[in-house]
Amino acid sequence: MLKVGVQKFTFILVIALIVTLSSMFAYFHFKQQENTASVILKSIHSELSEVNYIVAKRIVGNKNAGTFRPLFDRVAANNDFVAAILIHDGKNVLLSTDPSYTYVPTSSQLQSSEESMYDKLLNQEAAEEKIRFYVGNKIDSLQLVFMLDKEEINTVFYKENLNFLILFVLTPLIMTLLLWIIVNKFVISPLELLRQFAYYQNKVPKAFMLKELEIIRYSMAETFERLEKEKRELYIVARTDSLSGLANRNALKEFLERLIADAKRRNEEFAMLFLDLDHFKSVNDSLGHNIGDDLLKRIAGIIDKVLRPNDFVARVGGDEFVIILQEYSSLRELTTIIDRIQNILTKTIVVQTNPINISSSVGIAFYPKDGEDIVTLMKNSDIAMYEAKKNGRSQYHFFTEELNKRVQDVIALEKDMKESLNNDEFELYYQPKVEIHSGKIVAMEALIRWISPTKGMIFPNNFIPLAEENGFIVEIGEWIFNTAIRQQKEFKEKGIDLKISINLSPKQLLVDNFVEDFIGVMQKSGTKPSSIDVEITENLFYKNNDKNIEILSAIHDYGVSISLDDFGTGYSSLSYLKDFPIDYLKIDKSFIDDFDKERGRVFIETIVKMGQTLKMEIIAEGVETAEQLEYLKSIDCDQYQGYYCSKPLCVKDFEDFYLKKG
Amino acid sequence: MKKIIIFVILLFVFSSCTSDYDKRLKISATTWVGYTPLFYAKAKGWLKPLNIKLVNISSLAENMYLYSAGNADAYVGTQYEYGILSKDMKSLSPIMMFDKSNGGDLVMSNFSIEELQNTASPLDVYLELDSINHTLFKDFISKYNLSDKTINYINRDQSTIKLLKSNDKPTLIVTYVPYNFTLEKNGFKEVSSTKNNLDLLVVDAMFTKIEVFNQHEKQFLELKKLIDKSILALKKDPKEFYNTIKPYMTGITYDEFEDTLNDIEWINSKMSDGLKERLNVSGFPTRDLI
Repeated sequence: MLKVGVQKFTFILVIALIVTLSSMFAYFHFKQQENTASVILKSIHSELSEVNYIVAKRIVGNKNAGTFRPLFDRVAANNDFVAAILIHDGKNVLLSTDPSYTYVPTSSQLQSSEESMYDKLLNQEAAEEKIRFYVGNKIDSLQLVFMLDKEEINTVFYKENLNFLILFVLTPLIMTLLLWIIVNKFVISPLELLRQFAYYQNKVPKAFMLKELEIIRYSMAETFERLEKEKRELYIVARTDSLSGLANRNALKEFLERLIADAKRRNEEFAMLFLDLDHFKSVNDSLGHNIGDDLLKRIAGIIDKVLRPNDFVARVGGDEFVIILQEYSSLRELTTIIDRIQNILTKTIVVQTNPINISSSVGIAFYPKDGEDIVTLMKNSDIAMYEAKKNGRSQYHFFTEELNKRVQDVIALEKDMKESLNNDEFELYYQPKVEIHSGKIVAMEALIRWISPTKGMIFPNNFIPLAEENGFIVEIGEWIFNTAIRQQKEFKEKGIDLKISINLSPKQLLVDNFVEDFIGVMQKSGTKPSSIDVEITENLFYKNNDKNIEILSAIHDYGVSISLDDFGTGYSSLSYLKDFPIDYLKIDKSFIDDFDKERGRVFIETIVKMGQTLKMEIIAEGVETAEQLEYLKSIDCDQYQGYYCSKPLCVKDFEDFYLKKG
Repeated sequence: MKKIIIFVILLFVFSSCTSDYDKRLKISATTWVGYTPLFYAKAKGWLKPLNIKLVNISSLAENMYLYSAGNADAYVGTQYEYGILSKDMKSLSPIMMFDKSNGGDLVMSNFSIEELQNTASPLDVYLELDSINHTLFKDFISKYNLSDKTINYINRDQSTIKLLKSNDKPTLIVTYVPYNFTLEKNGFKEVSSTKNNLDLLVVDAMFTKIEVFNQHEKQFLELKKLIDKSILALKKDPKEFYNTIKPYMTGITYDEFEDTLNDIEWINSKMSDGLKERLNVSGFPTRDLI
């Protein structure tokens, strides 16, 4: 069946109405026109007959034709459709009321072959009758002619046509247009709005004026609102685990789809943790499913509480949970979170007076390394979880063996590192600082070494970052400081009176009463502040900036000098040099290595000049050759440190080196 | 949508707009010499563009009745024709002046004044009773002491009157130029006229109702210009003027026409204050004159 829109339908209807009405009006108009023409013609002929009768009674011949002038004038003046009246004898006009009509009308002017009265009236130019009269007893005749006023006749019909045009064509057109506008405004537009509302449901149309449309609009709005509410409820139900109230598998799927797309675009990774409760079946079997369900609810609540706002957790099976972690800076941070979850879950949970101890195993897979889609990630984290179970439960396991090993190594290192302090496995090495101008050793830097009985010597770059991360650096730092001061005292007793530099981690500054403790140690040991130098790195500038300035200023005010280590490799800024009380600027080895290049020299010389201008002494790090030293001497660098003089040495070796050198 | 609405409104407005001269103005006039500027304008074809139809009537009375019956929009006549109709038509007013009769209205007879005064026979008087003729004749009989005479009033149009032939019966004819010329040929002689013996003031003007004037204002204003133009043409070249209007003036020679011009005074463009005063006093308002 042909489908037509309301707009088109109304348009067709209106057009049909116009055509019908216009046809009817046109029919009546032409009928009326014909009637008018008929009346005019009849009146002209009647008047013609009347005048003919009068003239015929009085006329005696051509000679007295002129006596009818007053009569003719009157008749012509009274009849708007008569332009002139004249009498002629067939050849000559004997009398005319208008001098412009002084000719005998032709037959074509007098007759019209048209059938229609209207056409006849328009085409005919004159009406004529024969005047019959007697001269004596002889019959004679003349012609009486009414010349028609075409202009007047045309005016009458022109006016009629104009009126018709205005009243029956233009007015209906305007009315139709108005009707169209009204219908459009009150019916078509509302219907279109309703259609859009039905289709998109994004904007409820304003109330309509027409009652029926308003009822439909109101009903639709009500229905859509109810549907929307039900949809929302359904959406939540479809994405929520009914038992735990956590997200379910559907929600996890949707979340991962979005997350994977985002991570792919930003080139980021995230971790999927597959958590399975250990021996949950036995809880169900021994205490019943209702207790098991309650336990799951409690555990869901615990996990949800432990996680951060941006983390995501879903229950995907009986006792299986999937946790998505996006914000972690290192594997250690990640494992800390996992530890926190697992530790909390190991605490006794009382369900309906039943104390339950349960542990969990966690499998970890990373996007995109361990899987680029949901299925792979789920499968691999599940596999990793089973590995954790296989390894004795209550632990976590990474999907990649290499990663797993690395994490386990880190964990082992962390464990060993903590034990090593108690086992006295750390040792301080000392590297001399030499005054370039005199070639004398003027100071030394204390550098930590870990001498493991099993792994041998471990350099700081292998364990200090981990210590920084897990906070163990505070304990190590404390040990270094105490050991260095003690050693300095012992060196002094042996004739080695050198200023000692100790590296300070930003984390150490966070410890409460750091300044008091620091000064307390020196006072207790009787160490002169001027014999202590604290080396800091540029990292300290941008973390807790104001507090660090305060702490370092306090130390500096006490008399301890401060060196800025590895200058030029971090976030250096002139404003930091202005704000922090720096005494020594240590140029990083990477600059010194470039001394033989013009550009490298420009940097070294700039740093030296700048530092000296700022009343700092400049120490070049990593000097390994005589050429480097010569160069540093040529630019008036103050001190150097490096293998050219000596590598960091154990106490015994340092003593020997110093005494030999001295 | 807005464009369509504007288009339809414009169409409606434009279709409603009509020419300034869309409504025909019908003026009826006699062929009195004072009104010949109208016929001159018609003969020149000047009236057609203004949509003015000029119809000529043989008598002033007929002319007046034609207007009264509603078959004309304006008519010409003397203050007499105005006076009659203004009684019933309060808004009727003179709008255009033509001339002042200065011998143009006259009394003719086949008898001299003395013969008329002395005759015992009844006097046949031919005139247009419903016109200034009547007033003029009253003035005439009063001036020449003919009030006691038996008078047969015969009411005829001037076009009929002019066909009268002189006979033995004492006959008086009240007429005006140019009909006097035919009558003179038929044996009648002027015995008195507004030029010499009669005191009567006769002015010729065009009259219409104010509401009609308002409807056809532009046409009237333009017509006035044409009247002035025609009179100027007459003054400049009477012969050409005569030749132009000749078809309307039946049986009048150029000489007769020229003589006639001496019997009237054109007051179309200028009227003395005295004349205005006199007209106003006599109930002939001059305030609406163009």
